[in-house]
Amino acid sequence: MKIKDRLPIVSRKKKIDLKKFEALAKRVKKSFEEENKYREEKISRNENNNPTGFSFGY
Amino acid sequence: MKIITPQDFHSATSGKHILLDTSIFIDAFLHPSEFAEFFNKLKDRNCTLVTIKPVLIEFVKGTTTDKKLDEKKSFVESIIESYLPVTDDIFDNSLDLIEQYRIEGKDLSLTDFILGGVVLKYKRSIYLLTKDISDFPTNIFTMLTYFNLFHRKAIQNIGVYSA
Repeated sequence: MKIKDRLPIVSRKKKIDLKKFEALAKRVKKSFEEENKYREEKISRNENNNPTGFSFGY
Repeated sequence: MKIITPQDFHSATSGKHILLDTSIFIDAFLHPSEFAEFFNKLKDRNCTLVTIKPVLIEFVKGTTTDKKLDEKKSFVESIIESYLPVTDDIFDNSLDLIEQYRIEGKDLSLTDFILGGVVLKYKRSIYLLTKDISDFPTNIFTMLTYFNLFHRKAIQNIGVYSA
């Protein structure tokens, strides 16, 4: 196996700071909630335009 | 929510590279305190948490502003030590997997094929954590262990896979 193909060896792992992690997670969750709202609206628009519901999955 | 691991979970995964799927990052922001503790325990056991850029892309796609994109990226990078490079041989492995999955591969995402390709490349040196257990059938991969997300009204499984 070539050197570039080897798994990285990290001797000192960075620990997760709980307070910072929770605060960041809260903001990420909010972003996903907003994006999901857009997706639900899009699905509902597509259903109106595709009454058979048939899809090739692309 | 509680993360319930089998008794030998940490000894079974100790010192390994742990490859995280998109589903893990999603659960991590939904249950940050439980997952932060879980990830830190893995790090204490000398596990190296990694992912690949296609997982990051899956996680950040659809983000509406640059600031939110940076936050999502920071979130992923606060957990992992590094991204593994996706080399040509991994794509070759993914093509091999297409032959093995046959019709069951029809609904798999490109990211799942690449993750599978990484697992095939590094064999027993890397363990994939994923909630999408139906995407990694045991006739192709080995499920080494698992853990549960124990909710008030449900139990979810997360599989730990190797080649």
